[in-house]
Amino acid sequence: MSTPTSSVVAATSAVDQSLLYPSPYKEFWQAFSKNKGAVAGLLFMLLIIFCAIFAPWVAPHDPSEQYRDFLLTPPAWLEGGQIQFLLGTDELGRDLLSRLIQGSRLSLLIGLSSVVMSLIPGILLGLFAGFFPKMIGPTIMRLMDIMLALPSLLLAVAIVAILGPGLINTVIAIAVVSLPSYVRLTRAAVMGELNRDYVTAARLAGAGLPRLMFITVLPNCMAPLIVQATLSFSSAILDAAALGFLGLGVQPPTPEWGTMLASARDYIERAWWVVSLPGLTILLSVLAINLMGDGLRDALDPKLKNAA
Amino acid sequence: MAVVLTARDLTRHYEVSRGLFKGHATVRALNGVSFELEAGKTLAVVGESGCGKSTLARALTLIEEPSSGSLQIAGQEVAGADKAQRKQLRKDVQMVFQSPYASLNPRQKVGDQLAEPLLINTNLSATERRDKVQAMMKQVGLRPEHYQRYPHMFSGGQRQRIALARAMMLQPKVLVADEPTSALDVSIQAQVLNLFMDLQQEFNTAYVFISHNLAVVQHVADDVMVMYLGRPVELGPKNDIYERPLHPYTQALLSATPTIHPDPHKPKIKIVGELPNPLNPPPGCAFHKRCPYATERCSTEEPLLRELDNRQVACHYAEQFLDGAA
Repeated sequence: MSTPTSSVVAATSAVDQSLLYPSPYKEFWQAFSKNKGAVAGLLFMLLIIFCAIFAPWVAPHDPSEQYRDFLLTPPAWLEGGQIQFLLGTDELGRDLLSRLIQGSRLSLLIGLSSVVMSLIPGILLGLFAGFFPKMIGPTIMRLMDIMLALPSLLLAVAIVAILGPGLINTVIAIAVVSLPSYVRLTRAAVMGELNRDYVTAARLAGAGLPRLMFITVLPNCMAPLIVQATLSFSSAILDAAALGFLGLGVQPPTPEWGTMLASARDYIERAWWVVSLPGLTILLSVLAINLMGDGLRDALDPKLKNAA
Repeated sequence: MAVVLTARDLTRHYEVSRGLFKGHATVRALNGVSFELEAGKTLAVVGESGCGKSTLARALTLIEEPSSGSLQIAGQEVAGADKAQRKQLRKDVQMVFQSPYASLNPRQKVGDQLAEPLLINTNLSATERRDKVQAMMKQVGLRPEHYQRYPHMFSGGQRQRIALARAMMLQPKVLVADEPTSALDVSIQAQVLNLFMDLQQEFNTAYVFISHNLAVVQHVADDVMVMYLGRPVELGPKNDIYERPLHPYTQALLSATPTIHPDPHKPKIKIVGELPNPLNPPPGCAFHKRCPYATERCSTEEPLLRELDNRQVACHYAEQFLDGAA
């Protein structure tokens, strides 16, 4: 008889605390920090972001300064390396480390802003396409089909050619090109969720269209969108590099990871570090973002959290 | 004894495409349903799959507009109601769904889901809402700490109680329950049914209880409506219908209910075949192809619902069953 009474006492004393929601940030962090990979990704991204913000102070050299005596110097730990050029120099004698640090500014900007610029309109268009399958839906989807029918790089080139070369136009072009995948993903998820009873229940409770869209349905469609967003971050950096290579994106003296990768490919046999190091940087940051994205997706999914 | 729900000749037809060159066909999913329901009473709607039970539920809860006929909720006509009236009507009819696994939003905490109807329809403050939700949770037998949990942490029976609590938050005049226990364990069903009945007493809500489980219906219902192919074939007080079913379809349904001590003198009525294609219903009585007593008249003349022995029945030969049983 003693066990039930003690549990009752415990329950009543726990009442006050359990009535309050834990702070959503704290709850999110608890779930997120359980995923070691996601935390590692976050730390790496914080490092990159720190470098990007404080680039002029962190970088040992001016990224555009050409040391004519030190063309294609290997990294410091290799034979012939110089301690002042930690990661070596490129074909014009510019310090690679400084260029990578300075380049993180533009690369992060291109990656993040093109993802945001395609994610938000993509979700909105997808929601409308899913909620109005009679008129608006087919119109939006046929437009997206037209965009998917064109090769993505060609479309991006065409958009930049119309808008004129430059950083912002590059970002816009990349965002437009990756828009259809977000729209299709969102619409497919929305159409699946709309038939479920909980949406009907929310309608019965009197929920209006904005509430149904953003509070009831959208959170249940986030998992594929987060994965797509993290993956397209990397393709945005590479697309920007391709556009830069064609002379339509970031112009040469400005350091940017993709452009560095593209312009150094002639030296891949003689000086591997000129190509590999920017490539490795892109790889690591993409990996970090993907890990973070996975952690984010899991932390936002209540089913994967342990019972309170 | 206030009548809260009146349906008159309610119909719902669907246009379906039959392919490119064939033109449209009409499915008469609901074909002239009339009934009245008083506050605090339960009307059970019984019938096999595809007879229009769920369409009726969707029409009653204003999810779908009926094609024709009139529906009055608390004296207010639904068709032609303006926006404000519609908002009020929406509050008066709520629904509990069949599957408790699909009817709760997996990404919303239970407390938020229960508070949602209040948030949308009332001007209560956050604290008042929380108190009301807590009170309702207590009433349906959930513990206070369940407030901040997610639906996947609950069992089927608990989820159905949450769904019921959500439906009752606004204290609706009519609650439509679409097979609320058929997805649950038998051991939990009785518990949930009793909760339904407790809440009905407490709030004096009228229930439309859709089910194909006749044992459940016998437990909860005051009136029973038996439907076949979108039409009621028998409508009346539960006891009369269970004791002396006058429509052959009702008889067949009741004799198909398993019992522990089957009466050897009662012959089991077997109905053969399946529900006819609703795109192409048979002429005359919709049931005549499967009815053991069908005659020539049944295949040509459609029987209308008529008053007989304290109920409504749609069979040409109902009197004979009455005499035969008497």
